[in-house]
Amino acid sequence: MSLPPWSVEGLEDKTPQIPLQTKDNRLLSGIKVLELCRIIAGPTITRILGEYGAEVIKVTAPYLSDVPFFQVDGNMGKRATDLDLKSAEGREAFEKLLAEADVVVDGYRPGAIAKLGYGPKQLSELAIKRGKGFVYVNENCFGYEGEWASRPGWQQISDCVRSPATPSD
Amino acid sequence: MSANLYATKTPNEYYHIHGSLEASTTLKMIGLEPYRPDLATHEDIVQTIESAVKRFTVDELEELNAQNRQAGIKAYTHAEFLKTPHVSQHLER
Repeated sequence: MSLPPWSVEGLEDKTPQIPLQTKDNRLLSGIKVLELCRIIAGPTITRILGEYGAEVIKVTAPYLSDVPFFQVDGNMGKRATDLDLKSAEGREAFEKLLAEADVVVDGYRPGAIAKLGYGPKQLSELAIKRGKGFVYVNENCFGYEGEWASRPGWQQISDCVRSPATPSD
Repeated sequence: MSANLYATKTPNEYYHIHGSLEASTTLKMIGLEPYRPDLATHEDIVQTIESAVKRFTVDELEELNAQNRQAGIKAYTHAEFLKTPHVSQHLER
């Protein structure tokens, strides 16, 4: 099996190709990251971006739970906001943040954030309107092709499928 | 413990049930009460949950899982995983 652990796709080619603007010597200083993730994997991605100098805002939903004891370690260095993206006020606040963001990290199942209007296609349209592209990142359990692509999963689930978590191995 | 690997009705076939962020749905799905304050030790809990999982085959658990939108999955050996349709659908690209 030689699939790479990540892949990069161009979402649109209408916005100008400009490098991300950094403020100081740190790799990602001044880069604005919006995190829409829970639990471990997604939050770890943005925590690393923050460690390289990015400004990270973690957006949580009042109606979605998370695991309390992961929060202290997983969210070091971030700011957070709790927004109901199904409400007009929540969307207005989120869109103000989105207008200034460089990177959006989406850890929900493919299509979930798109249903709220903020998936990669919608971000591309917004990018063209504002004249500046977005970097959209998605991570999930089963990849983006194949019959299991929209199946929910966590790290132990992925281990179980690939093995060697099985007792018989 | 509602997110763990357990033996199923079929010998040598194991299933990882996953209670996700709230365990009640997965526990109820296999016929257990969400709260069992009477279970005091780790062994008691494992016994209770595994006896419940063992009433089902992997296929039955997959169906319950899909109906209840839970994240569990069958435990595959690496060789079995490489033969799954999901893998060949990736290799076809």
